[in-house]
This record gives sequence, structure tokens and C-alpha cells, in this order.
Amino acid sequence: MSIKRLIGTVFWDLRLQVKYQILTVAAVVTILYTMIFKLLVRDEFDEILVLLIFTDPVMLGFIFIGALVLFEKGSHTLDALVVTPLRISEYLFSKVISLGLIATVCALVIAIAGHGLRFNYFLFIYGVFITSAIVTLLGFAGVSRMRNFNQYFIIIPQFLAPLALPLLNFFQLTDSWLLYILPTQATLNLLWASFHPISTSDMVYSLIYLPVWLLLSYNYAAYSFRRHIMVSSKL
Amino acid sequence: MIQADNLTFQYPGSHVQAARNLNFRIEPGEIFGFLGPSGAGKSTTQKILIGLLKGYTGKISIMGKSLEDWDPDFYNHVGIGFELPNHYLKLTAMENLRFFGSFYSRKKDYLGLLEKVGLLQDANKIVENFSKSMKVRLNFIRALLHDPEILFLDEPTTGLDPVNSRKIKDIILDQKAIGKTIFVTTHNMHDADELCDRISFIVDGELMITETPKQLKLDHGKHKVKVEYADGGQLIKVKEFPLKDIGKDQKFMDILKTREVISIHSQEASLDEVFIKVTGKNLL
Repeated sequence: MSIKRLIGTVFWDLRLQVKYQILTVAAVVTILYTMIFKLLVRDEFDEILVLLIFTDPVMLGFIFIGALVLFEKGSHTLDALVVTPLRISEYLFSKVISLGLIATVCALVIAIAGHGLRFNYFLFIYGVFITSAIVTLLGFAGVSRMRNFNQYFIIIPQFLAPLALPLLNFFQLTDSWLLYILPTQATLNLLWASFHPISTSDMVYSLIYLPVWLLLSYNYAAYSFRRHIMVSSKL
Repeated sequence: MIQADNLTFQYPGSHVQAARNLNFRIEPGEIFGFLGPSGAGKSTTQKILIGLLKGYTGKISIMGKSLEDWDPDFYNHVGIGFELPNHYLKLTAMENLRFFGSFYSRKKDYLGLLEKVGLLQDANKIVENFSKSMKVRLNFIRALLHDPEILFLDEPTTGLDPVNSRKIKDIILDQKAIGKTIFVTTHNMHDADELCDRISFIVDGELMITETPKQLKLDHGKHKVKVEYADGGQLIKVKEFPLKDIGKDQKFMDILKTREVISIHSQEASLDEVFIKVTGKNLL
């Protein structure tokens, strides 16, 4: 992998995200979330804050990567990219980094607006960025076999509904260890841990388990790239 | 530069081989044409050669190295011109070139390339507003921007008017003149005739023949010359003479000496005619 090429690709991805209004949508959603929290939640209510931050990078990241890849498919630029020296890893990392940056900044804005400046930035950014990366990679794997937005919208709930299940544990509606299999259990733990202490076992689990899912998601996305993007490339 | 030995490929789930036991060798500095109708296996072969399709049998060697041993740096040495335009429509022509140029380390002359295909004035316009011809030309120069040793061009003049088609063909010939190896797939016989040093006819995944266009036309044409001349007043006459010992043909010589000759044509076949004769199929 070439770091220079990766940095260049991140720059161009951010530029494309500006052109395709991805940044605008992210900014509008962040402002809306911040206003909702400020207007509706009068006392410090970090559970709702975590819920909003959780849905922002998770939900939007999945939709953003879908839109970006479908734009690329529609204009056949993916066909052109696969015959350049750009590696699959560089392509995927660039999407992960550019969308992760947007997700992290948006989440930080909501967190600071809702909670103030005093929280654990390391745990917060660790949780948001890696979760955004996992969702981006899973979204890429999902969209790689889709031809249009209609097909993609059908699979969105199939991916996102399981990822949202740990909210049941978070709001103490359930207390199931099974939900610890899902990466978003670790995400919710880390987001909560940014504002309030959690048990050491939960902390260790979350810090280790999230990167494991990142690795799995990356391999799945890279496999999908080879299987669905390269072979279907049109000359 | 490019060599394929017993190249065979079958798409997963298909019962038909898309490429069957193909053997060809392309020399450095040569323009080699792959001609055939749609679905003949041209694009499949090109996709295999540029590393997009795996699972083939046989051997492919490019620049002296087995295709399987190349990593993505392979694409520093090859430029690929697609038939279908594929640009980031929200970016300008210049941004598209700079984006794709950012993957390569060699120095690029974006403005020079744009000028060559008549797009210099449109460099900062959004590609979304380009005509098809402009998109095709932008596609073409993208294949050249890293100055690759080998060019793979798929139907390079499709969608272009005669003037722009001429520009593209001149650039291809310029590339050959500076030693580039060029693999062209096309169903346009006139382009093939004009550009290619050698051509292969491909039908149903099989190579039927590989030869120079000149030789093909000679081998499959009539060895005769047709003379059109005025025979007093306005009357135009046409006669054919065998090429063999034509200088000793008294009638032919008489016409040249005593009549007003309007045209003389050797009766070699056109490449279209040769294709139909050799393959039994039409190109379209």
C-alpha cells in the first residue's frame, strides 16, 4: 500500500463527497440532531445523546457508502478504477477514512452540544470511528452486488436491524449476552464510557472486540470487491 | 510484448467457452487488432489480458512476465481505453484527469493531452455537460496520461465524428511511432485497416486467422486491375485485366496510351469482404 496514494485518494473522496452533497446532508442531520436534543431534552440525559450519536454514524454511514458506490457504478468509474495501480485496500481505506472523519466530526459536535466539553475523547473517537469503519465496509459489501438505490434500500434493514439490537441491552429492556456478539454492543459501551464509568470487563471487551469486527468487515468488503466489482467490470 | 498460448476461458455457470485455445504474439511497437462481431470474445480476451478475469487456462506473458506474477503495478505500464465513457460526472475534465493521474508516479501533461483531442477550452467544465464525443475523447486521453508502454483500446473511435476520429487515429499512430505497443479491439474494418500492422479475426471465442490487413486483402481479392476510361466523347468504359504480366498486355497498354483514363484500381478485397469470406459471419 502506498501512503501517498492513499492520502491523495482520501482528498479526492472528500472532494467527491462535497460534490455529491454528502457533507451537506451530514451537516444538516447533525444540526437537526443537536436542535432536537437541545429543544426536547432539558436535563442532562446522556442515554438519548448516545442514541443520537449511535444512529448518526451507523445509519448515515451505511446510506452514504451506498450512495457513493452507486454513483460510481452508475458512471462506470469503478470499472476505470480497477485498472489503475490503486489497490483494493487503498480504495476501501479511503472510503473508511473519509466517511469516518465526517462521522467523527458530526458525532463530536452532537456530543459537545449535548454534554459539554468534559468527556473521554479517546474512547468516544475510538468507538465512533471504528463503528463508522465497520458500517462503511459492511455497506460496501452490501452495495457491491446491487445495481440501483431501490435494490440497496431493500437490504438496508437486513444489515442495520441486527446492528441496532444492542440498543435493547443499552436501554435495559434486555440483558442478553447474545447481543455482545454484535459489534454495536461494544460501540454503545464505549459511547457510554465516554461520559460515565463502565466495568473493566465491558471496557476490555469493547476495546478488543470492535477491531476484531473491523478486520472481519474489511475482509468481507475486499472479497466483495473482487467478487462483484472486478468481474463485472465493463470494457 | 504480449503473448498468449492456448488461452481458454469459460465464464462461471456458462456452458460455452468465451475464449477457445487462443494463440497470438504481439511484438513491441506493433498495433494489433482484434476484430469480430459483438459477443465474439474480443472484450473477454481483453479483460483477461488486463488482469480483470481470472480462472483462465493457458499462459499469458506481458512484458516478459507471466500475467499471474504481476501485482497492481502492472497498471503503471498499461493504459486502458474503454468504449463506454466512465468519468466522475460532477468533476471537471481537468479534475477527472488529475484524479486518475494521482494514482501514477510519472509526470503528466494534462493540458497537452486535452489540447491534442480538442478539449483544452473545456478543461474546467463539468463532465456531466459534455457531449458523447467529448466524453469519448476524454476517456481516450486518460489511457495515455501515465505514458504507458502498452495501450489496450476498445473501439477507440466509436461515437466520434470524422474529424475527431481522425485526431484519435493520428494519436494512435503517433504512439506507435514512439514505440508503444497497442492492442485494439474493434468491429470497424476501416479503422483496423488503417491502424493495424496485423489483425486477428475472432468469432465464437476462436481465432480464425491472423495476418496483415494488406496480405488478407490480397489473398482474398481478385488479382486484377479495373480501368475506367473515356472512349471518345462522353462514353465511359470499364475493363478488367489480370495483374500477371500486365505490362505485356497489349490491350491494357493501348488504353493507357490512347484513351483518357479516369481511374485504375487493383481488385483487392475489402476487409469486410475478407471477414465474411473467412468466418462466414457478418461483423455487425
